[in-house]
Amino acid sequence: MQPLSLKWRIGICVTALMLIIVTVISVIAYTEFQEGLFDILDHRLHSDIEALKLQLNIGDSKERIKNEITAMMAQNKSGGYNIWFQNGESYLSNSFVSDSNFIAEAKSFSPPEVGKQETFNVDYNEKPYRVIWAKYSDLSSNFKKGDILNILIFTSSDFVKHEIEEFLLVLVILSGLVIWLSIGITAWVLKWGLKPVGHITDVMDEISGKHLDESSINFPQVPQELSPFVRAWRQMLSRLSHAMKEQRRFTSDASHELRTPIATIKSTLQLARSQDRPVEYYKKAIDQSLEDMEKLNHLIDQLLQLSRLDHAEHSQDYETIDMQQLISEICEYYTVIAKQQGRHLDYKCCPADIKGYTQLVRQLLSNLIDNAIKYSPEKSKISVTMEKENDELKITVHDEGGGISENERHLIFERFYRLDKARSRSTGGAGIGLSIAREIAQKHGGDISVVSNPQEGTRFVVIIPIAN
Amino acid sequence: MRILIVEDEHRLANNIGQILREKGGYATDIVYNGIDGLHMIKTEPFDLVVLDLMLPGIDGIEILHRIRKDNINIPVLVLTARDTRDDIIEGLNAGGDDYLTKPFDIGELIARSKALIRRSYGQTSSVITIKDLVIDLTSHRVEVKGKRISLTAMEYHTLEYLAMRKGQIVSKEELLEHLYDFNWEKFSNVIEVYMSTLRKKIDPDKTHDFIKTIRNQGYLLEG
Repeated sequence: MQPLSLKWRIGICVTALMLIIVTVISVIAYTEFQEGLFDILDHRLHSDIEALKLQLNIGDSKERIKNEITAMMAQNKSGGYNIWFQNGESYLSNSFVSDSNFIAEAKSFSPPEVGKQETFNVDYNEKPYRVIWAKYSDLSSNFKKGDILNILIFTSSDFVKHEIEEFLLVLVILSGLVIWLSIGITAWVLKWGLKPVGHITDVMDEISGKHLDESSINFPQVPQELSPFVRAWRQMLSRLSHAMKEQRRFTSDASHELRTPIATIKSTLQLARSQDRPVEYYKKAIDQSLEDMEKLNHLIDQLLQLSRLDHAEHSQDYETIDMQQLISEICEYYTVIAKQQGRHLDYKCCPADIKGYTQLVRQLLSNLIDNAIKYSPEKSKISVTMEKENDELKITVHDEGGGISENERHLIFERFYRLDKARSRSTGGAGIGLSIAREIAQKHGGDISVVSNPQEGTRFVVIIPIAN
Repeated sequence: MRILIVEDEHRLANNIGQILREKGGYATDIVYNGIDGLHMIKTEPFDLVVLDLMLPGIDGIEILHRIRKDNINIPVLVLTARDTRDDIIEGLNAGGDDYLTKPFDIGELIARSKALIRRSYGQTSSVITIKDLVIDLTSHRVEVKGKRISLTAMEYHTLEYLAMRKGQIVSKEELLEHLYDFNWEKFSNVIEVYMSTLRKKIDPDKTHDFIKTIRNQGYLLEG
């Protein structure tokens, strides 16, 4: 599945964060606002009840008190009052509050202690009210000593509800706005932040296989966070470019090596046919062409080996190779070849097993021994030795040839590199045998190296890990 | 006309030499590496260089760069196995005049060599006509007043060289250098011998006096 787009990832994070912040702020603001509104109401109710208490304390007649209270409460049209004794006997009330249901509703709240007040909300007839309930004793001489007087004053808190609803609406609209804005800003910031990526993409689009060279690419300036990415990309390009160059060089070299003998054969035959010539001329032309064909055939074999190597399966399919047996087998064969060419091959084996492809390892050793025979003078000795060193097998192929100069030593493993073109041509080599040998060694987890000087000849050393 | 062949595959180089000598009648010199090639181009007067690009020593492209930098305007036929468009462009841009890929046809090699040499002497047509004298550079036929005359190879090449440079005085040394390769002993009286038989053959009645001798300078074929 394709991973969630960056826009969504960051968008969701930012929006969730904003949602939490907005919710917390809204809850706090809502609570504070509501408390503030009730504080205002309570303040009024308190002053009312204080005034009432004062009136009752003066000791006026009940009639006067009632008049005073009625006048006092006239402003509180949506409210009312009720005063009763502890034993339930009513003292004063306005008609609305005498409604037993309202009183019962109010009395269901826990009553205050004597001399104290309690405030609470009551819903009555689906309308909210703020109620204050106080209990007093020993008020004035009008009352019996020990009488407890309950005073209840209430007022409609409808406006509080109304105000809070309006406030909530504002909060919701504001939150929506904030969240919408945060999404918008996130999208814009992302677009702006990802702009360098767009530049990189544009540059990448323009790069083709032919123009991988770093110098021809105008790398964009990018923010610090993206520079590791661009660096990795540059390195990848440089590796690719190197591989492409290597590939082009190989194709070019291979075409040179294949076409030159063909050109030779073609021109030899065309020349022979172009006019009447002595029989010896034709014979020579045919012989030369056959020789060139042989070279061509050898080269094609080597190229096929290379391509087979490139496609060789993975190391898990390796088999155990008895190197003692393999090396003696190969050396026996080359002893005969060497003898035919007036050279002497010596070999010494020891028991050792490695993991690998028999066919490839055989190729590796054949290439080295074949080279040694070709490049050493007549009547000289070629020796092949193998020895175990820790958990590695060391195979040495030594010849008494003229050696390889130091500055050429690292080049001999390059494909198509020839030390001496004339000589290698005349012996049929095209300069990929050593390259094949190295690739085989490396495929088996080992490597190949060369030690050489004109006095002692050349020593190729192959190291391959021994199988457990 | 004298051609230098720079090719590291000995047998192919020798074949090219044989083709150019047998089929083109050119004098040829062969070198098998870039260093000798560059040296020869700089020191000997060749009419054409057949140059391989992949050479030991100095490669062909490098040779082209160096000789063009030294203002040596000799025509160069690049002969190589590299046949991608980029390779051809590189070869021509470096200073090659024409490009022939391996394996080549010997007829094409001869035709391209001739065309390059012709052009280097400012001659676009393969037939040179001077008054009654017609020289066909392709078939090496020479006609005077519509009648074919037979010339030996050296007589023909002497005439061809003078015709290519018609209107210019050509010294005996120049003739020697352009008609013989490096391996010949060069005696200038050989030229005088050829010149007298040539004059007799192309102008038996001595009416035209095609080839004039300019004292102490050389010969002149007027156009």
